[in-house]
Amino acid sequence: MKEEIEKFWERISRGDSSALAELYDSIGTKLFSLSYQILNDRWDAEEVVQDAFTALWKKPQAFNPQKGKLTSWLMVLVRNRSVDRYRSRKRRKDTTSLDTVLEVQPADESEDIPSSASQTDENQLLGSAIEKLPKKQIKVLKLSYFKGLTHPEIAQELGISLGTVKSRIRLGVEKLRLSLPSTLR
Amino acid sequence: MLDLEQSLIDYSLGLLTRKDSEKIESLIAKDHQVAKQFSIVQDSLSLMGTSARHAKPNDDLKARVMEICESPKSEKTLTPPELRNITPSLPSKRYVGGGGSVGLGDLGKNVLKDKVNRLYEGMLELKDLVCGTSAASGGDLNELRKSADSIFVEIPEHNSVCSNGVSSVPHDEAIQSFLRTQLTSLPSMGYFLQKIREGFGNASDARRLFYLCRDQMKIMRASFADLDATLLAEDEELRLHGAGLLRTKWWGAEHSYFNKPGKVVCGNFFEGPVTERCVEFAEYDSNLYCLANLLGSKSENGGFQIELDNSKIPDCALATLTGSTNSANHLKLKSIIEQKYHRETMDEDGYLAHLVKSSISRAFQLSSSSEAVEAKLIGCGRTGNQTMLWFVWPSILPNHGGGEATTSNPLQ
Repeated sequence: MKEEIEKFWERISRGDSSALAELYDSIGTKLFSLSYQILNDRWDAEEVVQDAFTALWKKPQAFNPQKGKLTSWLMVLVRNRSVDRYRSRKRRKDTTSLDTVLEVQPADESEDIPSSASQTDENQLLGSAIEKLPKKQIKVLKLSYFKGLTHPEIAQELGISLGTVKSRIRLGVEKLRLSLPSTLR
Repeated sequence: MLDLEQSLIDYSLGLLTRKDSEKIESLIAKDHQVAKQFSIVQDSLSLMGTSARHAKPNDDLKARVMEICESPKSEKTLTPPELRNITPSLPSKRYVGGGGSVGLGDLGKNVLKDKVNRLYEGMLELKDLVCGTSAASGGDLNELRKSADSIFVEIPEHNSVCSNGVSSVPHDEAIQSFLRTQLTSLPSMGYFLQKIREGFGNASDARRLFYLCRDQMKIMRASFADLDATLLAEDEELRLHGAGLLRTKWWGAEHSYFNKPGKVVCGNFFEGPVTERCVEFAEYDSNLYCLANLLGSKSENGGFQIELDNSKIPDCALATLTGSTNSANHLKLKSIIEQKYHRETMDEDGYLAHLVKSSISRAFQLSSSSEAVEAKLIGCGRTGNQTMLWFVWPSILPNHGGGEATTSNPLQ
């Protein structure tokens, strides 16, 4: 499936709209889930995903298949745009405490239904890979990845040095990658 | 090596300064090994993203995404022929909105003041029911349906607004502020609320209601300075608003002016900021709604296309709305846009155009609203069976000092 996703880009570059539809079916929910986890707002998350697909359709050359995977590129695009939006919202109304940032969001019933069995397996694998990380690394990684906190902000919040923040992020990313089966790497 | 890996992680997380980002981008472009390492970092970080708790988007998101494919890929914007070679004279200081604001007391009559206050309170209630964290946003419309009847959102009837006490309002700016609260986003909101009240509607309608409600509140705050001073102070802060915000909002939307619904199509939208503050954005939005209501109510299927271009007129952004009309309706629209302001005889359509003309007069510091028409900063043209309504707005100059910080895109 992953290789198929990479092929979508060639077809999208040729203006094949069915490729965009297939790409949406493959990873639209994942992208939405990521954005929703960061923003906790459906309309905002839908806007981010819509904008990401618009960007890809209008300027497919912004992605270079020689330098990475389309899935990763889209995940980073959606993550960064969601974080931008979160920061902007936070600047306007700074009411979210960092404690709530790390809590699991309330979910309605539909959110618990994965779109496919393979997605369940994949999420479970990822879930257990993350659980295997030391808690200190998870906390720093989540603050950095899902809430876009800068290193000094994380250092201040957790009362640790800047160097410790950086090394926990780096080690966390590395361990996460290595703890996963090669199919998910 | 460790430093490089750290830098690549920081770059992917959008934590580097622009200068450092450029250094990394240059390294990735030049060095194959660095590019490979960067790819591994991005893959690892995307695994974090995949671990996000599963959430299902609404079904219509895919439909909206697929509408992208229907719009032209070219950068060409439909441009009214009348606009060739116009060079508007720009004021030395850029207009940043809020110039049409009055106090609630300026309405004179208490009945109108109460109407505005009650409407704003109704909007606050409605916004909670349709916002992105509401049950309605996830497709459960029960609470919204139950509450829709009791929320006080008085939707005016077509052609009743100008006759209901407006003539007694002491001055023109106050009339305009009042009519802006009644004739811009409110009629379309009425259409969607009615759908919900009748037991129809879905998450997509709740989404549209959210946008309309948010815009309505912003337009109201920008019209009456003392309506919600706390939020108005936030609206007045420097904060760039991009054309993309408008595209996302209008993309594939259903829009209705007094129960004449139609589909909106987004054509070419330039990339970049349109306005500097929320109050300015509210005024820009209000102008778009006015022209959308005029054209949508007279186009053949109620639909129209919106485009935003910043390359046709020097230092200005051009907004065009295009829809197919019969010749009688085209002539009607042309006459509405070009008519002069007469308070005693102006009807709702005339006021819709007048609100835009007044706004443009403020933006370009013109002495009268008719000057805006003469300078072609607002107009009505025709190509084939398509009527084009447009307005021109001063651009935000490059190297603007303020605005939103953004993380980098996943550049490769």
